[in-house]
Amino acid sequence: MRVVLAEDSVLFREGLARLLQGAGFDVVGQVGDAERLLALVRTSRPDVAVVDIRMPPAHTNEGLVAARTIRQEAPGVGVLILSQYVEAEHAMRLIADGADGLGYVLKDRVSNLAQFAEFVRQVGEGGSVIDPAVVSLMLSRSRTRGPLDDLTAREHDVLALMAEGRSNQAIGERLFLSPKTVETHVGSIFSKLGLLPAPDDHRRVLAVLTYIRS
Amino acid sequence: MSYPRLIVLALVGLLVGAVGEWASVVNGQHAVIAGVDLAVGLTYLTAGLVAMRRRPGNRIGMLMTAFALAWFIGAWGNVSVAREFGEVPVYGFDQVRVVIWFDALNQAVLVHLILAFPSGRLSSLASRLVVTAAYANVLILGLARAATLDFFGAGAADARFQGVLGLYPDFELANSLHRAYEAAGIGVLLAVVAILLRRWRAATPAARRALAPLWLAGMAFAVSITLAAPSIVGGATPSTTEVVCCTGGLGYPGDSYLEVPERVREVLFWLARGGQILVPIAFLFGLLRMRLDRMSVSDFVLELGEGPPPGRVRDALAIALRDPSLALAFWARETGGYVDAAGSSVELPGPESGRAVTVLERQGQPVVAILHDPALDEHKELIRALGTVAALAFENEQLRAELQAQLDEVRASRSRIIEAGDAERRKVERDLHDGAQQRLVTLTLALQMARGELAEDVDPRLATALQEATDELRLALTELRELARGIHPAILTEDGLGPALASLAARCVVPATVQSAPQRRFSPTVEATAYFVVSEALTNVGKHARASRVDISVGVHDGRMIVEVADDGVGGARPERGTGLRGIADRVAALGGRLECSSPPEQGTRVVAQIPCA
Repeated sequence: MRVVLAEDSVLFREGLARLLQGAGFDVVGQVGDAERLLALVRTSRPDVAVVDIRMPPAHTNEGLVAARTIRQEAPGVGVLILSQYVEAEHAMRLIADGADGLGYVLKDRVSNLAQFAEFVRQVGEGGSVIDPAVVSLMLSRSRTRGPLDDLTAREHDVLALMAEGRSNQAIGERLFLSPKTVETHVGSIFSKLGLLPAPDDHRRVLAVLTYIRS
Repeated sequence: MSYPRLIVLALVGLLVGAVGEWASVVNGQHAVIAGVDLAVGLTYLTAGLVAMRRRPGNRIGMLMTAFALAWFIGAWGNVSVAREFGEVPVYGFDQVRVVIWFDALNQAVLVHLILAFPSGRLSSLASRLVVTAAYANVLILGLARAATLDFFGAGAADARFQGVLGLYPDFELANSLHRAYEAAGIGVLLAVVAILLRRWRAATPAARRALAPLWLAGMAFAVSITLAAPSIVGGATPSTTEVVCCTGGLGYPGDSYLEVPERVREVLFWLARGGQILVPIAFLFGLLRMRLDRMSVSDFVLELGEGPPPGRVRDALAIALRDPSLALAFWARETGGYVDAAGSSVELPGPESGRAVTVLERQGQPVVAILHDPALDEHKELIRALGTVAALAFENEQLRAELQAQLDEVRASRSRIIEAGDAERRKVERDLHDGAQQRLVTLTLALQMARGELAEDVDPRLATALQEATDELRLALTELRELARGIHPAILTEDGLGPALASLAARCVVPATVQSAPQRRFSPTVEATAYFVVSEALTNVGKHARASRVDISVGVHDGRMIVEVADDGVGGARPERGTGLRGIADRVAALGGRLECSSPPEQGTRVVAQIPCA
């Protein structure tokens, strides 16, 4: 999988490149700011761009802006945003126009290389990843009445775990349910949220988005 | 003027008047008329002496006294008809002629008096000319007329009656001179009327108030004389006419050319007398009203005692002195000049400006200058009395202004301190993210790389140590992130109040909803203050309220941001006992806003902050 890195700290960038290469990724380019990132994406067409949210010149949310541009110019390129903070607002804004091939995770996630590599891979394959800390923050939010109110308590739990990016297998283990039962719950959630059959991952993302946006 | 001198003057006046009128009566003058004449003169004398005593700096008193004497001298014309006293003349005809020469002097003095009232000075060129003309008429034309007067007709047998002033008895010449004399008299009167009318039109209310009674009296007098008859006007006072009448109308030139019915003449005579007697009464009334105005000082004091709002002293003073144009100039110690209420520099008007200035001092230092209508110059004492009272109020106002300036400065500096603090917090937050946090993340990465370098069969203790170090690092990063967030949330700087409040609501342990939040950006300090208000309120809700929900709303009305956090908890919050909300309230107050907390038991808690955000 072809990866480009955009991060203004050279030390971090080089280290991350080595780790990703060690994990089997093909790091085809590294840049230090958003402008060069856009140029690099245009020329090398990677599968995924790993982008620091804060980059020169202003060090605020250049990464987010660049991500949006990439989504428009090269829809096939996944973008994984690395953030220093846990802000649902950033995630919401990122996925406002569709979550495919987008990710928003804390920079600290590099401390678990296996998990981080999985994030990169999911985004590279067109999936979507939202940092578990952000998701749990969103889950604790109060909600007004919406489609989720039709879910049973158990379906709620399942959806919450889905939103944390867990597989059916992991959800079953967590809730002490058989994979079969989890699948039933997932199917029920999809139908209650009005999600038509489609590749499962896509429906999972939509269900999670419904959850997050509610 | 001292009492002895006044008494001497009073006695002289009385004597002159009494002798004149007594002579009039003895010579056949109607006692009532003589009595009225005496009354007119004595009224002037009294008013003049009182005025000289009470207002020694003012010429009006002197003019009124002079008028009284001139008036009585006119009556002395009657004394002259010595034949009634047998062969013992009291005065010879020379003296009669002297009297006739001066018989119109009282009119000139009256013109002077009317035009000089109330200041005692002739302020305009026109009035100076008119008064000069009036005196000149009497002194020059009057002399010429008296010199040529042919008292008993040409070739009078009794040479005794051809006195010094009758050097050139010439009936025709005397007649012409007399007509000129009359015309000049009428001209003077018309000029007086014109000047009074013009002054009335141009006068401020204060001036009208000061002059009204006198002008009414003066104009009534002038009009009545003007209308009466040229013969009367020419003779200038009825006394002269009476002299002529009493002396048997001996060749007095004016008699011949205007027929005035006796009845009309009588009415006009009384009108003229009434008008004359009103003049000194008007002046006395003016003096008396000075007393009444002193009463308005006490009203003024009471008014000021009410605690006048700034600028009210001027208004109260303007009302007490009835001069709407009144203005105040405050002495500014720092600049050594005068400033107006708004603090702009003010030049005091010069003597030619048509404005008068009264400066109030305290301990030799000017406090305030009162710019007022010159008509109030007569009331300098009153202005000073009011001013002395007002000086205290001025000083109050001054202190108040200084205090206000200091307060403004303190407020501004308080707000600047908050702003500086905010800027510092933002910088610290940023440094934490870009410095320490970035380094720790990189360190995490390095640990991962180190772990990757190690073979699979590494000493488990080393692997554990590395893992523990990694875990510690993650905790440190999390704590650091929360710390930075507490110092100043990056999302507030980057995305504004709405997202930042949503983020706060998401972190609240009680279900919290942002009902409304402005889309636009505000100054960093305003945004941070609103944010910390909500943050602190939500913290308190989480800790104490036992609420099931909390609503956050932020709106902007009239340049003020209204931040409201309301829960449905147990209420009974005591913001004055906790340091958190009080600190926030101080912060809000530093920006000129207000923080209110209402928390009745069992009815939830509502925190509302108003923050100026224009």
